[in-house]
Amino acid sequence: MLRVAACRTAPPIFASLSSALPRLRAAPSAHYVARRGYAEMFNRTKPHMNIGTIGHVDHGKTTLTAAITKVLAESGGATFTDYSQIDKAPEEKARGITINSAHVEYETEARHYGHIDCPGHADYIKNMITGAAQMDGAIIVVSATDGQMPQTREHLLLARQVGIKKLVVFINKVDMINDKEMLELVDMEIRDLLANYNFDGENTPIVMGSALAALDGRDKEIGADKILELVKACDEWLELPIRDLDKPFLMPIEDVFSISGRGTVATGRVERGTALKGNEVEILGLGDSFKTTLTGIEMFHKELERAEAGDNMGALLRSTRREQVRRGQVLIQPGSMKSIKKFRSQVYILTKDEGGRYTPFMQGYRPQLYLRTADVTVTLKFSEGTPDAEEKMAMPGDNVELDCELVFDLAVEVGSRFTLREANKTIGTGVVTKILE
Amino acid sequence: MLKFTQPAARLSLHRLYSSAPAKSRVQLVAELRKVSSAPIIKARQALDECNGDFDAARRWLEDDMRKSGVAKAEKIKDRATSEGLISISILEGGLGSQTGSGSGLVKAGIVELNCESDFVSRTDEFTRLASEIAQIAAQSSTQQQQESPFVPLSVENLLQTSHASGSTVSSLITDVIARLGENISLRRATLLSQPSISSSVFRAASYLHQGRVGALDLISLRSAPPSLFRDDAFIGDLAKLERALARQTAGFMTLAIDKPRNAEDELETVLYEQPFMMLGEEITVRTVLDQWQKKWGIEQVAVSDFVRWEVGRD
Repeated sequence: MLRVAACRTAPPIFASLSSALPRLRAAPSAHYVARRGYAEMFNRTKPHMNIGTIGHVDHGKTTLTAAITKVLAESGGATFTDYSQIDKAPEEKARGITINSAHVEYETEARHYGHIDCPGHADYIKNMITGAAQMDGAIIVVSATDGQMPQTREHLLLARQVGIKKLVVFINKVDMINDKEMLELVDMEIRDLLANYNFDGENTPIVMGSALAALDGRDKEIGADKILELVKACDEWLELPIRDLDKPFLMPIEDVFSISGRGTVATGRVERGTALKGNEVEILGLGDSFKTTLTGIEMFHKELERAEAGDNMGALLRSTRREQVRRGQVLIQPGSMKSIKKFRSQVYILTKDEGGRYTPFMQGYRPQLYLRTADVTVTLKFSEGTPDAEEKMAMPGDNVELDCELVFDLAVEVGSRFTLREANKTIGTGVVTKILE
Repeated sequence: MLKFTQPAARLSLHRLYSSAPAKSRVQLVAELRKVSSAPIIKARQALDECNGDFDAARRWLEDDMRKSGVAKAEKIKDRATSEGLISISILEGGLGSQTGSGSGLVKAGIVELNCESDFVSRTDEFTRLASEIAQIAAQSSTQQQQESPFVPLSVENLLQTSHASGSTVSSLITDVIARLGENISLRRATLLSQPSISSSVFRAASYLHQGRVGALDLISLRSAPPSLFRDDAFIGDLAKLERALARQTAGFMTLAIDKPRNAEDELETVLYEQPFMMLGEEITVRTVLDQWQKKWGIEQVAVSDFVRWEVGRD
């Protein structure tokens, strides 16, 4: 209720809603709400995305995160989280892996953001690999007094590595330099560097302000106003990830039954997309791929017309024999995926403390790869072009790029996550970065 | 002072503009930053102090980076440094080695240099600093009588040691602190120094795993005919074995060479009992060494001592 009230008093801040509208059209449900009037209600249908702050320790990324929550709290879009709470970066476990990262969340007029702040490169990579907090965009924080530093390159490389395509830059501490020409130089240098690392140097929004001023509630024009400008830049420039519901239908097959008088039924939990009774579907993976028709959808012993992401369903398949379908295959919208045997991936090798191996391995190592409901033996190699690959090793605690070759083909695509196991022990977890064959 | 010089510098530049194509103040600051990677605020100050004279500003900056680096280092010296790199420098790799003179002498250094974040430890600046310090460590001299070929060096002494350029290790570090803005500390350093003796041949082998784990092994060969060390096939095979041994030392949690250091230590901590990685899981390092010495007709090939370090761990 409080939030609703706060929203009503806030409109001047979000006066430029019109600019956010084109983006909303991509998400129909949110569009509907927006048309009804933004000040009326607080809603949960806002599209969600994860972003993170990356920057040098002294450039104020934690202060900035705190400032965003403070400024947005005034319009009811966040709960103020102070510096010390964020700075602690608690250790947490995702898929058994220890990651240091602080999370806050906030809402702008157009979106809901999950925001992560990690102390190190390795933590961001682990977040990406496990999918614990996959960043869809990032705010690079640079101090105006220092300008970009040698490690700024590492920050941009990281952003590339975790798959971020668009960034927003916040130039912090502008009150300490107060020289328009120099600020222009910082701007110019950053744009150059962005372009060097294949980001859009020309159009990337660069916002100049003071996070501390916003946090202290002083100098509104470089403080709170700039924070609002920054979140608006995020709303407008950073692209929303596609929602699971809007993606093509996919159901990993968990089990297969033969029901007399009805035929073959494959069961599983719909990972994404929607399917209607009567749709054509494709069964993919493990050597057998074919098309058939979805003649029935069942859930809790009831017939349904439509299944969507999150549903546990039984799929009745037309003229399909039970032997043709197996656990580990997927049921998909025809043509939306390919079944492949070879791909490149970014893998984290678990340490002994995380329950993983305590010895290193060389290439040619063959653990079991678990992906959705499938498990298949995989041969691991260092990615093609690695110098002295035959003498290289991977140690527990490493983040390493590996080429994986499966014994049987599986439905794999960029972004698919998997785990590597050996003798009932998870030894690694990874994400597919490139399809090879 | 600043306020006074600033307009003056600008004025003089304006005047230059009309006659010769001179660079603007911003361009000069940008160039200063390129050559020095100094903070923007410092580059501007340098130019203003020197009335827009680029070369003078450059000298001013160098001088100031040293001073402000010291101040910065002092200010952040208590911040925790848990990331960083292990770096190894081999000056003399031993008999037949391509590193150094190839005489019987072995000389190498291993150091651990710490910083605050793994972003900084990945930069070229930090990597270069670590390898420079490893080189300086390898050049240190030792007392005549030493019990072990591995001699831990005093960090305080090493910090005061001069580099070829004349600056001390300590000032090299402060210089990088001024550029990278993170606390940097030299955690430990060890010298490997083995004079040549008649009965055995010594060689150094090293392996660095992403700068995170490092191993420096002293390999010894007993009763190896000197003619072998002129045979390229032998030297190549030996170098391959050495690389494998150093990698093995680093890859496993190696604590000892031929018997457990403590009774409760696992067998995997003993180098010779570990499965030899290059050949899969079945055969131990001990067996590989036995086969190798038989193959080349040498009485014994052994790892006589080693150092294995991990960043942030003892």
